[in-house]
Amino acid sequence: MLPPTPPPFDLSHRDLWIIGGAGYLGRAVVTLLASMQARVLCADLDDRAHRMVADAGLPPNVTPATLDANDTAAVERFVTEHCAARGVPHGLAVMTYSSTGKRLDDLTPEDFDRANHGNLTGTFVLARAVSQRMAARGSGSVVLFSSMYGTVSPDPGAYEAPMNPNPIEYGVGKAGIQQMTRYFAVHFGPRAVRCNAISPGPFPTVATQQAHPEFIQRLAKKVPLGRIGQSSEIAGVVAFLLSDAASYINGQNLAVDGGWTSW
Amino acid sequence: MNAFSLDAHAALVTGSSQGIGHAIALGLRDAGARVVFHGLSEKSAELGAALPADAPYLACDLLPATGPETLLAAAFAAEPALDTLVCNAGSFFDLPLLEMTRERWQKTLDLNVTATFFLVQGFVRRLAAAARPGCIVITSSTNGFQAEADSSAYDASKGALVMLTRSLAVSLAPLGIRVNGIAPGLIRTPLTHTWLETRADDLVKHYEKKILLGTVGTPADCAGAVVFLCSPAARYLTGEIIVIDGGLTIAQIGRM
Repeated sequence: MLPPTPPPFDLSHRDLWIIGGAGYLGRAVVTLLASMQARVLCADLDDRAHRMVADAGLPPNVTPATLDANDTAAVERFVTEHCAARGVPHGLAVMTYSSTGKRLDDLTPEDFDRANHGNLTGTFVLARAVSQRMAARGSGSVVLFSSMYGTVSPDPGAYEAPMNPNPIEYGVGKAGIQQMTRYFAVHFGPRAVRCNAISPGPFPTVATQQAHPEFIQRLAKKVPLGRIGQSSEIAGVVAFLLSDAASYINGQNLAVDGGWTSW
Repeated sequence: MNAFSLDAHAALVTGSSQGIGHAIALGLRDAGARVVFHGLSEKSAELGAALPADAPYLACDLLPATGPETLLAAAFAAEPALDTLVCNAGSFFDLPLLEMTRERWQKTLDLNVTATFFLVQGFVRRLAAAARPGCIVITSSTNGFQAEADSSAYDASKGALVMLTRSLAVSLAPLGIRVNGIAPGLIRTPLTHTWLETRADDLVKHYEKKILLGTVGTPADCAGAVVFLCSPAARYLTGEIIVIDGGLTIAQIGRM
């Protein structure tokens, strides 16, 4: 007799919250999950999620919402209200980030604190609030977003004036996300809530791609696959980690970087 | 596009007569790929019953130096459009360290590491000749980075596979061939079953405390990750190793 077939990638009718879902990568994630018939709550700053849903003509299984993940009181309210209205989600992806864009020599202590409040404290409060509710139910999958710059430092040679190198507070926060992921995995794992991280490699936005073609070439040279990533190449990885196909994967950090951190 | 579809792809999965490889091969078929199965033993009635009726099965010993090339020739004859290779065949030959022999050490490295490298080399030569992009997945183990007593040869061989995965990824990226790995933790397979069940102490109970998700894994738990790695959803992943261990290796101390 054949053993049971492997767990499916099916996400239809799953409740999935994508925070930072109107950004360059978030948009691709929301679009893929919507096409897989998930029930998606897409949250972002101000009216960004509402505009994206309207402009992209996304189907009614995507609900836009407003959230500033830096505002921890707002995060608590958001989680309470949306769990009451929609139920505790099956999956959560936190795709927010903070960055000053400043050079290391110009960074003030306040800049550093502000960025890391968003990258670390905001992510912590949000992921904890949702994970606790998932744990009370006894199931869930959480995906946090780190970065290759949470694993390796940016190469200053890839950036040329007037462009600033990717700033220190961004990578420091993203490195913290990798450990937050392991801590959540250990803390909530016994109650069947998985937590994993994704570390994107070079995924400059379309605007950056158009404005800085030489920069894109320099990045591409640092990638074994010889090219930068496209936003659709993050989407499937999020879908995989949120699905039952990844049901025995917990506490891991998946690099989606074309091999950047392999050499 | 279905992000996880393997329609129009064809895969060879080594060590797919049982255990993790068997579940991987079935998972790839489920996702739409044509799959060539491989094992050490000739096809028996019992083995035949565990394989899909329409799937080619090749018996081949990968230990001899000629093994990888023999298997590849037969596999490409059975399925000329192969573009996916899952190097999963491997075994455990260790004895307690003080009794370990040179023969068993060599056998471990020959099967787990050397055969894997030459399988990849022969596979890539054929893909390059056809200018065909491809995808390779290598099964290592959590033993590749966390040690276990009296498992020196196995641990060293799996550690070698972790680095081989990255090294091959870097070398083969210019050919459009992605190389990734899975590192299973404790999975209940024919290889681990006897070991788990014949111990005087209650090893399973010990592991169930240490594994955060609370259970020893099943082969099917590994299939999803390999389907993902071979699918369009993983187009920008190379040199990456997915640990499938229910959290076994991330906590210092399990539940007491």
